[in-house]
Amino acid sequence: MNIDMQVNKLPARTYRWLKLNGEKVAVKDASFDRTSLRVSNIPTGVTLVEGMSLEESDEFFEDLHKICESRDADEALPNGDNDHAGKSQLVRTGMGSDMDRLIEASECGVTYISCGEGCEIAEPVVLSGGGDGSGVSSQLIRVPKGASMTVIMDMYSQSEDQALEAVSTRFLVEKDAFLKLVKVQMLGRQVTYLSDLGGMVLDGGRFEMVEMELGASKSYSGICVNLMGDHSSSLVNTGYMASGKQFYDFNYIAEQRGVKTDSEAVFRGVLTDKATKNWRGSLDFRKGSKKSVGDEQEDTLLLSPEVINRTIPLILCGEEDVDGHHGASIGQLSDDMLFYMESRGIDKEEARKIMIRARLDSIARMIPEGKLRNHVSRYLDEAI
Amino acid sequence: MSEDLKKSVSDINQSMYDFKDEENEQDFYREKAGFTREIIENISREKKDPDWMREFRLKCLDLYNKMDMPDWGPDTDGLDMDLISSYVRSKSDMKGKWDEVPEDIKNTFEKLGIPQAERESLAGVGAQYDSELVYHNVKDEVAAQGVVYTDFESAVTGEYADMVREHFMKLVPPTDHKYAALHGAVWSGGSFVYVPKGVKVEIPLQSYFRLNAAGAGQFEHTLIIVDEGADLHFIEGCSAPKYNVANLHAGCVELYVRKNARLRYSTIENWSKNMYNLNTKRAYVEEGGVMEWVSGSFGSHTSYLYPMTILQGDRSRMEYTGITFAGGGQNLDTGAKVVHNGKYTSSIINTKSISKDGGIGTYRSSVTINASAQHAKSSISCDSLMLDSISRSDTIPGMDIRTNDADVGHEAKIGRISDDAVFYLMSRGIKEEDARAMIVSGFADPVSKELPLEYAVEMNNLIKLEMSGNG
Repeated sequence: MNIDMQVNKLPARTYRWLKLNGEKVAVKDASFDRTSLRVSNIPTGVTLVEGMSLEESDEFFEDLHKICESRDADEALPNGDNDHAGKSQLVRTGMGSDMDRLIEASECGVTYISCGEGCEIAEPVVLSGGGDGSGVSSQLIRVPKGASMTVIMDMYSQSEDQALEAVSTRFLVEKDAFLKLVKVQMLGRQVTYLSDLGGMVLDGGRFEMVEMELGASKSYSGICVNLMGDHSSSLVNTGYMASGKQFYDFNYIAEQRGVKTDSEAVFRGVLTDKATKNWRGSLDFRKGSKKSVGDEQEDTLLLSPEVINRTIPLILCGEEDVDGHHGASIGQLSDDMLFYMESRGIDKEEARKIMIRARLDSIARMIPEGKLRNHVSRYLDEAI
Repeated sequence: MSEDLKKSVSDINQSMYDFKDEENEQDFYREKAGFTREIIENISREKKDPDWMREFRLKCLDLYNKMDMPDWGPDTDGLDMDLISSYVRSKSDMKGKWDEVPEDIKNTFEKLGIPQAERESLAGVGAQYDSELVYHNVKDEVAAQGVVYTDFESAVTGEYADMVREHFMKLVPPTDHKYAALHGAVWSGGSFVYVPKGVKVEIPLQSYFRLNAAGAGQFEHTLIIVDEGADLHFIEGCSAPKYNVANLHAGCVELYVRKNARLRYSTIENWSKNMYNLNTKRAYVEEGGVMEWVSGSFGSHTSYLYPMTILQGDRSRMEYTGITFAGGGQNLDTGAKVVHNGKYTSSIINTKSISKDGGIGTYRSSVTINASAQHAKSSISCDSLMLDSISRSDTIPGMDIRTNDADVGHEAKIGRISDDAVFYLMSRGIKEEDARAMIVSGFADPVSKELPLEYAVEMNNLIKLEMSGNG
């Protein structure tokens, strides 16, 4: 399979030389040997359908398509708006429509995960992935009215071979429902990882996500949360550490359409050696999202003179009565903090490790499952 | 808060700028519309360009024809380049006394208050009408310090020709973007300023640009060199009457701030709402130099305006303070760019944006910290205020950091006028509309306090007029 992809597009293009309008990914001679994510734990009360065709999966979004089709009418768009929003992708994802083309071409089956209305599933659904060769998978998660569910996606491999892992996930959080999604990526250092996510949250629903990006050679992660319903909310926490020549490319979009929606995102990470990171974060307040609030915070620690850190935090606003905020702090360890630590008998190298660890642990400790949390902890021990 | 009150907010009061003067063939020369080799050669001949400049113009035209339009930013479909006349000038020569300037042109600048400002508070004035300067003067005591302030055409061929040739379009090369190439091909008018080593010009110099002709373009070139340890405040003002056809402004500003020098460049842009303002400004700052931009964008139909600073020397710094007020029918895409190359360089970007009545205000910026810029610091703050729900306000700030020794902080906020703040002021006996005007004035205060007093007063008056609905 050969596909030239343009992924993680910025919702409103800017200067070309900044190289932040999106990333090109050339998939060459790819053949997928296996499903990327396999179900390893299904708690009681969860409905699981594997191997569903893309056509069958589309039916779940028919009603949503109807809602989506009426949106954007007569709405002024930001300068440099990309046409992918609302047109080629009715249910928008972070990576965009080219990822859909890849999934379609791979002919992989869709895994559908859901539960009954009002069900509170205490135990997490666990999907595990990674291994030899290349993998692809597509998930559809639906949390019905009043239900709550946690889904863990654990991608791990020790393979030193070049490979591709492509994972596409769409979700629907219905009225007053709750979904917590945990994505942990600790793939081998020759793997290219494509992780696409997009979904909708309806009235009173809440979406939470914990994401840890630690492995792979190149990782592209796109997240789009559409807060369609009134009083819907989302919280995304991402932690990452890139070293060597690792390349991480993130695209986060919170599309706020309902009244009194609330989005919050924290991106916290460490770059060292010759690592490169691009981060695009967009709060997109659409017309009608009155009294909505949005906040995104980025905290990046740079530990080598050869790192490249590109950041572009957008606030797009077509509604007057909203409150959007972005804050970023990019730099090295503060001399004051290092001095403080040294004055307490902790040498510079140890102090550095403590500070890196503290940053990443602040996200990792949100992983609800002990076994995975410990695995991440051991991985970080070795990496740091 | 009543919706009616919000709707009463009207466009900026343009009456003092929106007056037209008839331009007849007897007194004015107008080049035909479009951008062809023949037209460029005509302009070059008219201006008695040296050979190198003529060849440069033609190369730029080739580049312009080959280059793409940007695929980002506001829509420019309403700008038909085949209808824009690149060169319109009065048949009268440039004068050094207002009394000698043709009566109709002098009246225009009188209405804009330029001669009065020169008498009261400026060290020198250049006044451009359409494509050429019609008046240029610098006070004797400033000239006596060795300060050179002249029209650009004279500079290209006169005493400073070598200095001009060495710097002209080196900071903004014609390959930079399509409209930089266009500027290189058709530039006309503008100013050249040289401040010698150690000279501190106590009161500002000002250039005022007036585009009176319908369907014309203005392409002035400003080159300022502030030599070692020198200090200058330069003010640029722009206005035009409103026509039903598009006008184009594609000027270019190149600023060199030498070692330990300081330059403050203030712009009050109030072009009419049929203007496409595609202007390019760039500063190069050497060791210990300081570049300060103060920018107020009130006019234009469409703006692409991002003054750029290259902090080349160690310990050089820049500060950008800007306000953009986008009203009905306006799409103002403004901001700043900075590149840190030197060690211990610092930049501060502080912008305010107000959108109302369907206007689109976009803050767009870039901060680049290269590997050589160890210990660089950058602080960016952009606040936007939306006055109604039919407007748009977007912030698009890019950052590219390539050293671990940098310290970058960024804050952005978008919001509306707080009901609590209005309620508080009303509970102290202030009327609702006055309370709203006070809050907007307070929002703009960090910018207005950086402006020269006369401009700050004018800006605050405009805000009050707007908020009272009497504009």
